[in-house]
Amino acid sequence: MTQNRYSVDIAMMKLARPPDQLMCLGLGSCVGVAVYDLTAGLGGLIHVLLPSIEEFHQAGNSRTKFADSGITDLLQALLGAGAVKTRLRAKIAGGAAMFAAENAFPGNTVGKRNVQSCLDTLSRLGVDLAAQDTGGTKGRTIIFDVATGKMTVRMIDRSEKII
Amino acid sequence: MDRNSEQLNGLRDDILREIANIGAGHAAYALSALLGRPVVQSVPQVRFVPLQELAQTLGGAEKLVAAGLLSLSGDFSGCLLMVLDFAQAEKMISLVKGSPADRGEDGSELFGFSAMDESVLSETVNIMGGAYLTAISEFTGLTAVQSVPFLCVDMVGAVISVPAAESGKTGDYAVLFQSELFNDTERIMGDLFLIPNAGSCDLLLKALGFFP
Repeated sequence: MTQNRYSVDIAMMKLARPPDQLMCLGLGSCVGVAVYDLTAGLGGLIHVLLPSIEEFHQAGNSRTKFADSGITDLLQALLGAGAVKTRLRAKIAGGAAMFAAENAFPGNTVGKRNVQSCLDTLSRLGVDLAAQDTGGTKGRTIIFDVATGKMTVRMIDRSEKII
Repeated sequence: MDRNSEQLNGLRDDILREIANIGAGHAAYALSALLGRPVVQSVPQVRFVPLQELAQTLGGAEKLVAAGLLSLSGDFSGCLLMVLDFAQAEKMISLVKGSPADRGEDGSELFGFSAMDESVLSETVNIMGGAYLTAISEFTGLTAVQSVPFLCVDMVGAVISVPAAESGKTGDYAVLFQSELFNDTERIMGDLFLIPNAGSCDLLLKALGFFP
């Protein structure tokens, strides 16, 4: 079987089965959230832009733009496709403060708030966090391998890291 | 959409393009004064870009760029973003200070640029942003103040996520006022973007007598 790699852009959600891989290119303050069930051979990835749908009611139609509603929808989609809730694990990466000092201007703190909202939502939904690579001031590209649950994290000035 | 509203939208787009034209024209003039050589701007584009397509619009999410950002607040808000190919950023630094950009191991955190080079880049962004903003303030009668410049060198997808998050608070697209800057040898120097926050685009239009 050929292996395909699918790109998950801002506010998108995609599910995949082995041997396919899912990736987010150039995550800055955004967070890539992968949730997977290794036994069922199923995984999904979302590309979160903002922390919470509660804050912004007039913000368009996309629920996967937000950490809280996005992760909730991702979980539902996985369960609907045959994943078992107790076997679900999550890995997250991203949430950097791109422009130097985090509090330098309003808007630069969004990465940190995104990460916190992802952690809160996962914990509220009872999904264990297996690993994370978050924060800092550098952008990340992530490639999530559905077969192994491994997430490869690339930065421009750091060697590749697998979480 | 009926014919009438199509014409109205055509007018709206013309007004928005004129705002970008005036702003970027002054910014290009300021840059050419700084560099001591001609800098011209392209015909600007004003686009409503879906958030998913932002990175692609800027040349692919993983493209390495140097970016300078000015946060705007006042009668209207948003940000001004200058995006340069990495090689063009080095070139701009060397043109401004008259000697090559020095990137050594002892450089700053900004991808090896020295503190001096970082200041040069910051000041260039500052001057161009000031010219852009002053021009559109005079044109519209609305004023906004700019923050100090913030720099980063990274993948363009990561850079754009900050203004994208602001735009994403109110919709699924961002408004991009895009102007390309060229130097005398016709090679592109960089892109200058005005990205207004929610409502600010309408405020600019209203200030010019167009009620969307």
